[in-house]
Amino acid sequence: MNIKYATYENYNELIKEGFSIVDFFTNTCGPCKVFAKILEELSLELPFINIIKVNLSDYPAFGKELNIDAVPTVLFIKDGKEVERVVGLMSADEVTEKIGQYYYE
Amino acid sequence: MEFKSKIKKYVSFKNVDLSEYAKHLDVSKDIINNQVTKFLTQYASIKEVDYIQKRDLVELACVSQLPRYNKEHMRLRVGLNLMGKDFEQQLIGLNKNETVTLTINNEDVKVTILNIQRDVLPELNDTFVESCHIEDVSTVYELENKCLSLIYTDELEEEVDEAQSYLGGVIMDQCEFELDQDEVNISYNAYKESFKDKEELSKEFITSITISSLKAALLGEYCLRERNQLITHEDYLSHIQKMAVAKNCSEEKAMEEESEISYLIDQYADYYMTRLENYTLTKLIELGRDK
Repeated sequence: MNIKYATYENYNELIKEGFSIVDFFTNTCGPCKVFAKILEELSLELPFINIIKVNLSDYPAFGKELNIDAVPTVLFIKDGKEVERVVGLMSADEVTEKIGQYYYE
Repeated sequence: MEFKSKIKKYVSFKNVDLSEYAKHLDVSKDIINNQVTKFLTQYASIKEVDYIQKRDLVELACVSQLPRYNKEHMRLRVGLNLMGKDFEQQLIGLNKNETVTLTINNEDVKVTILNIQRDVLPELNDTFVESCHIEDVSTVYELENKCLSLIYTDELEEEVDEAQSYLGGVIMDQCEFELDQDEVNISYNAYKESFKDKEELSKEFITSITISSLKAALLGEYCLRERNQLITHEDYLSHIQKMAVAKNCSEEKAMEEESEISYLIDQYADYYMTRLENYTLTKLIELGRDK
């Protein structure tokens, strides 16, 4: 699986190239666990997409820095630049639609 | 660190009959195969092949007046239709290193196939399933039920709650425990602190939760010991580090808030209850299929 867990230190390095889906979650968030399963399946389907997870239970200040107010929040990032963010649980179809829209542009 | 409290007699939850809680489930072979295939994909090996089939991972180069189809290098999973159903359908059957001109939206798209990779799923048998080391799963049939649990979670929520309560009660009754009073007190004080805003909760209620938690923790530790996966002192220290950062306090303060015994009780009990829930769901699916 192409899923990486970001730290405060390596986040910018992980997102700087290619297309990344960044999942902000916390340990106690139920919908985040549902979304985690969706991302696991997606990582198998599309191993060339970077899937990056940021645990805000470990890095709460980082969430504030990036203006993350709720979890799950998903950032779609192309070559280091945020192209869209979605707050709340997304379905697998919604995520693949975004990939179609941004990765294949 | 280990508990001073002990299990004197262990009874496995697998010995408890849950058939009364199972409801009939209609599960088609297609649904089963679909779910199992999803599971097997994580164990797939990849081989390079010469021609494109649906579901292959393809690297290609495209030249076109259409910006979306003008890419020096891109990758896609044929059949997901992220580049359009029409486009991907026309890729099927093409060979590696082949260059063709496709027509998309009345425009030419010159496509060169650079590489084709195909997932090779492992052969599904009991030996393979055992090698996956999934808790409480060692046969193909059990794996099917485990895979089905992902789609039946909501449908069986009520049945699982009832069965799990029953199962937990039977286990607590049939196992025998020797509880250390210091550990009981630590756990009691931790719960009392967490319930400090709920004055209506009686001492008896908090004591009851304390005892149940400690017993669940002992059962969790027993199970993880069998798998050689006990929680370590380093795990606790790592947890304290994260807690200190999250609460913006010193690690010493974090340790005062949560002792290692408290942490162990919490983690082991949580593990056991989660395992019980997962087992219950999978078992009800098995019983439902057989009904």
